[in-house]
Amino acid sequence: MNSTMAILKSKIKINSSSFKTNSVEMGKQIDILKGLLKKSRIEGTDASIKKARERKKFLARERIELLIDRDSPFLELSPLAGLNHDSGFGVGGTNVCGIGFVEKKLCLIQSNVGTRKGGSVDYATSLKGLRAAQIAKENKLPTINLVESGGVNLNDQDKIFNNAGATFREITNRSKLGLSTISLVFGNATAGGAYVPGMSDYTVFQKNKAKVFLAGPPLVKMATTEVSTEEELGGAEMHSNISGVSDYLAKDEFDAFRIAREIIKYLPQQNPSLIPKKVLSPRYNIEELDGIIPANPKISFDVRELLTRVIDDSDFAEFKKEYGKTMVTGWCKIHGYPIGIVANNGVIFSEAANKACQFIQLSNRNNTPILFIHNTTGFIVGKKYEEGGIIKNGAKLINVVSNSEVPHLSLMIGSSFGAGNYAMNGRSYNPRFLFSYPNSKLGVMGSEQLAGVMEIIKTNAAKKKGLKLDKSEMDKERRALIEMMSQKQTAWHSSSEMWDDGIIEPLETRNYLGFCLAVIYNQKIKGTGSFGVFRM
Amino acid sequence: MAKLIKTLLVANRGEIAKRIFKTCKKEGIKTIAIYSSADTNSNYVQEADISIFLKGENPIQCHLDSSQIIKIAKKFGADAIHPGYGFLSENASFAKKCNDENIIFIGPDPDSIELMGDKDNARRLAKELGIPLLPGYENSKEKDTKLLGEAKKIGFPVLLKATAGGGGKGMRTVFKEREFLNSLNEVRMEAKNVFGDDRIIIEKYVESGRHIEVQILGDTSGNIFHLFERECTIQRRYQKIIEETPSKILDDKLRKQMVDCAIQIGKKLGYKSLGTVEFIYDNKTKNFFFLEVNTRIQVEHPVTEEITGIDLVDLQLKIAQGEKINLNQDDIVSKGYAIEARLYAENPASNFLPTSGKIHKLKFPNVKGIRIDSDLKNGDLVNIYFDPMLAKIIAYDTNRVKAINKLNYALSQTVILGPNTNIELLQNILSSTSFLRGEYDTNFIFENKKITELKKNKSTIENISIAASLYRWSRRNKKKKILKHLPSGWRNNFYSLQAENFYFNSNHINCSYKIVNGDFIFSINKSNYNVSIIRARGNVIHAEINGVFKKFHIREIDKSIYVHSVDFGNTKLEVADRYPIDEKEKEESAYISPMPSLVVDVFVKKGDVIKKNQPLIVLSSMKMENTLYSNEDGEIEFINVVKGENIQGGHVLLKVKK
Repeated sequence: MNSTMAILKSKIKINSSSFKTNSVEMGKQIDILKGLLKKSRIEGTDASIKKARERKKFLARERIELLIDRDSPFLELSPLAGLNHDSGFGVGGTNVCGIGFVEKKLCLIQSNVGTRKGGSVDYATSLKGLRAAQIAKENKLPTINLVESGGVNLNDQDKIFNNAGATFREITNRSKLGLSTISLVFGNATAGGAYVPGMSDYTVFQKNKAKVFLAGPPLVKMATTEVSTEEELGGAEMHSNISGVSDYLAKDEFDAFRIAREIIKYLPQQNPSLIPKKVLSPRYNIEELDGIIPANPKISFDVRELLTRVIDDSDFAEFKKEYGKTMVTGWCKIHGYPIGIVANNGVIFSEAANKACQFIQLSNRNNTPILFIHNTTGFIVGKKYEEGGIIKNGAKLINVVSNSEVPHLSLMIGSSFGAGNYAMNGRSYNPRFLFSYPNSKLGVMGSEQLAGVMEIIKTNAAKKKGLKLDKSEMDKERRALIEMMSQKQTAWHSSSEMWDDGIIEPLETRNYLGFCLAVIYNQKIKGTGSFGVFRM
Repeated sequence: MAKLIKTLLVANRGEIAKRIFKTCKKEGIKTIAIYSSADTNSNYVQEADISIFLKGENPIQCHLDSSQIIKIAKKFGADAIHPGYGFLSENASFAKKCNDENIIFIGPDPDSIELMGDKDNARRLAKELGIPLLPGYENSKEKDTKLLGEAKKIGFPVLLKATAGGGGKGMRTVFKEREFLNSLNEVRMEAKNVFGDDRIIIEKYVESGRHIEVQILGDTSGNIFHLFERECTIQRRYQKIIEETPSKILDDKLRKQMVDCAIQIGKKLGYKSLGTVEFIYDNKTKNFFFLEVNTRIQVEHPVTEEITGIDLVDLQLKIAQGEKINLNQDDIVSKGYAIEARLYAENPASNFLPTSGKIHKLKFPNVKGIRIDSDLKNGDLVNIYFDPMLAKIIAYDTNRVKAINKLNYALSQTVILGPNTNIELLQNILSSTSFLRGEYDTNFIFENKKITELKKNKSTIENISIAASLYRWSRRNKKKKILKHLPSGWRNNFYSLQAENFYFNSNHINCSYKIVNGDFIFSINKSNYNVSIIRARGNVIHAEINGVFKKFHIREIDKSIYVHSVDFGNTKLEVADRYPIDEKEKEESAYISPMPSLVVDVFVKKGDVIKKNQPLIVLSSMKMENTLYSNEDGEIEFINVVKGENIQGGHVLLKVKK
C-alpha cells in the first residue's frame, strides 16, 4: 500500500498577491481579536484591584493559574461574551470559564471576577454559566467554582433570573450523574449566590473571607430586627463549625487550592476512551492559513488547504472525493485523535448533502466524532435544484446532523448562511464546541442579498400601490440596512451573543481542536444507527 | 626481626584504608578492614578480603579501641597492622601492644613515636642538633606569671600549642599580652579534653609563615632518605587543604638545608619508617624553623608519590618486614610537579562548619595525570562522626602552572550533588593570582575574604535556576499522557507566565517562563533568557541558554534540587512550596531538628508552661552544640526525644500549645 496516497499536497503560493492581501486583512481582524481579548482580561478598576491586593486576595485569573496543574493547558470559553451588551459589565462579563487539568483530570473551572463590579452577574455572565454547565454535563467533567460574587446585577434581573435558577438546577443534575461540583468560596456568595456552594457536592470556605448568607445584616435587621455581623451570619468558621454549609475550612487561598486538589485527586479516575501514542505534525505551516483564508468571503478556496495545515501528517482519507464536490468529507487525526471531517467547498448541492449524510452515518457506525467546517452561503437555489429535491436532501442532512450521537465540533471559517448553517451543525444543533474565525459571518442570508431582497419586496409593494420611490432615498436605506445587518452577522456579534465558544486565530486551529478532542475523548464515544424518518 | 606480612589489618577507614589495600593487593597481601556502624556501606569495607565489624556505641571510640582491634587482628591472623593517619597512628602504647602481641606495627618503633609525639621533646632534640628553632618555652609546669614573662621575652604574638597536640587542635595565637592568661587557660582546657594532657608550649608566632615539610624514610640498615618537601601552607582552621611539591619558595640551597635538617633528626632518632619533619618558613626573614615530626603516613603523601614515582605505602611495608630496600638517595628524583586539593563537606561561607547528608551524585573526571583518593560513592551518607574529608584530588604535570590548571579543571568537572563542599573555595584559591605567583602564607584563606565569600553572581544563580526549572518541567512533561503535543502551558487567552520558584540561601528566585514554538523564554529578575532543551535524559539536562550550550547534572530530593555544571559548580536550591504555608503557622506547629544530631539535654517536660525564648533542648552534631529556644509562650504539648538519643534531621522534637 502506498501510504503517501492520502497526504494532501498544498497548491498555495505564498508569494502571490492574494496571499499577501489575505494575510494583511486577517492580520487586521486578529489585531481586533487581540484587543478585545485584552479587554476581557481586565479584572476591574485599578482601585478595586488595589483593594483586593491589600486584602491579600488573588484575582480571578490568578486563582485559575494557581489551581490548575503546572504547565496544564487551559481553554478559556466565551471570553468575548457580552461584548456588545449595553448593560453588561464588560467583555467576557464577570466570570472566567474554561477547561484545564487539575490533578491530571480535565475539569471545568469557573472563576468569579470579584474585582469587576463586585463579581455581580450580568446577562452575559449568566449565559456563560449555563454554557459551562452544559459543557461539563456533556463531556462528563467535574466543575470547580471559585466563588466571589455579589449576586445578580439587579438592572438585568429580568434576563438573568431564570438562567441563575437553571445554573443551580444543573449543579444537582450533574451531581446525580456523578459529576461533582466543588465550590471554593473566597468572598461573597450571598442571597441567590449562596446556592452555588449550597448546591455543590463539596464546599471549601476561606477563613475570614467567605461570606455566605441568604440575607446580610441590614436586611436581617429590617426583616426581624435581629442585630448581627456578617461573620455571624455567614462566616467560614460558622459554616464549618455550626451550619455545615462548609465542608472544609481553608486557612487562606493557598490552603483552599490545596484542599480542592486533594478533593479532585480522590474523585473517580477519568477513563479517556483514547490516549494517542504517536502524533505527527501537519506537513505544512499552519501560520500560512492567514494568507489562505480569503479576505473577501465571496472568493472561494479549497478547504483542503486548511485541512493540510491542521490535521496530523496532512494525512486525509477522503471519502467520495469525486462525488458532490462542494462538500469535502473524510477521516483523519488531530493530535492523534481520529475525527471525521465534513467541510464546505462552496454551495451545497443535493449530491453534496447526500454525501455528507452518508458520511455522518458512517462516522456514527465507527464511533468517530465529526468536525464541521462552515464555509457556505447555503443550499443551492433555482428551479432545477428545487426540482431535484434540494429541500428534501437538505432536510435529510439536517435530520442526520440532529440525530447523530457522536460528538460534533463546528468551525466557522467564512460564510455560514441560511439552512446551510443548520445542516453544518450550527449553534442551534448543539455541537460540543463551536469556534469562529474572526472573518466569519453567519445569518439567514448575506447582508447584501438581504438588503437586495428587502429592496425588491419594497419596490413590488410600491408598484402595487402605484407609488414612486426615491432612488437616492432607497440607496441610503439599503446601505443602512447592509451596515446594520453586517454588524449582526459578524463573528463579534456571534461571540457576544454566545453563538460560539470563542473567536480564534487561524494558526491556533489545530490546538483548539486537539484540546476539544481530548475533552470529547474523555469518555466513550458511541454513535447511533437511528435517525428520523428520511424523506425519500 | 624479618617477618613476611601475609595478612595486614588496616586500623583505619575511608580513603587511607582503601589506599593501603591497593598496595597490599599489588603485593599479594591479604587485607582486613575494620568498620564501625557508621561505615557499613563504605567502599573500603567491601574492598578488603575480610571485613570485621567493630563493636561499640560511638564510631570514633570503636576506632580507638586498641584492645578490640588487636583481638580482631589475632583472631583473623593478621601479621601486621597499618594504622593509617589519625586514630591510633601516633599512639605509642598501641604500637607497643602490637609488638607485644607479635604483630608488626607499620610505623616507627614506639620510642620514636613517644619521643616525637611530645613537642617538648622534639624541640629539645632539635636544639641539641642545632637545628633552627623558633624562640619558645617548653616548661609549662611553671607558674602562669612565669609563663607570661617567658611569652613577653619571646615577644608577642606567640603561639600556644598543646604539647601532645596535633591535627590543628589545642592551638591558639595570642596577639596581646593581656589576652595571654585567658588563652593559656583555654588551650590548657582544650588540651586536657582532647589529648588528656594539659601541658603546652609557647612559641614565637610567625606572622607570615609557610608550612613546609620534608618526607623522610628510615630503612632497616639505618639509612635515612628524604623524598623532598611538601608545601602545605594553604590551611583553614589549622588544617591543610592544598598541598604541593616542590615548594615554590625553596631554592636548591634552602631545600638542601631543610632536608639535611630532616635527615639529621631522622638519624638521631634511628628512625625506621616513613616520617615527616615539619618546618615553618618565615616570609619576612626567609629563614625556616623546625616545628615537629609526624611519625605516620600523611594525608598529603600522594604528591610525594607523584613526583618521585615511589609507592610510599609499599616502602613502609617493606621496611616493616625488615626487608632491605635497595635505594640510594640519588635514585630518589623529583620530577615534575604535583598538587593535592582536599575536598571537604563543609561550608566555607559559615566558618567552615562541617556539612552532612547524602551524596546524591558523585562523578570525578577521568583526566590523565589526575589521581583521586577517595572512598566516597553515589548514595553515601557523609556522617557526622568523622573528619568530613570526601576526597583528595591530586594533579600531576610537568610544571606548577600546568598542574594547577589541571587540578582546577578537574574540580570544575567534579559533580558532587548533596551536602555543601569547599570545592568552589578550592577553585577560587587555585585561580587567585597570588596563589599562582606563589605569594601566600598560612593566613591566606583567612585574609582573602573574597575567596571564602563564594558569592554566586546573579547570572550564575539565574542559570542554575533555569536548569532546575527545565529539569522539573521535563520530568513533568515526560509524565504527561494527554495532549502531549499541545504546547506546554497552552493558553487561548494568555494571562500570565508559568513559574517555578526556588530559594537560594533563603533568597527567593522566581523563574517565569513561556514556551514558544518549543523553546523557552525565561524571565528572572527582569532578565530574559532564550532557552532550548537540547536533550533531557535521566538526570542530565543539555540546554542552550542565550546561545551557550550547557550541560547540567541535576538531582531533586524532597524539596532540594542539586545542580552541577562545569561553569557554575555544584549548587543547591530549595524548591518553594506551590502553596506556601503561612510562616506563623509553621512556627506554631512544631520544633524540628535542623540536622542529624545527638540530644544533649532536654530542659522541659510535657505539660510545662513555658515563656518565649526559654531554652528547650540542646542538640549536638559535628561536635557543635546548638540550643533550641521557644518561639512563643505556651505549654509543652508533647516531647518526642529523650536525652542521649540520636535523631535524624527533620525530626519533630516537641510541640508547643499556645
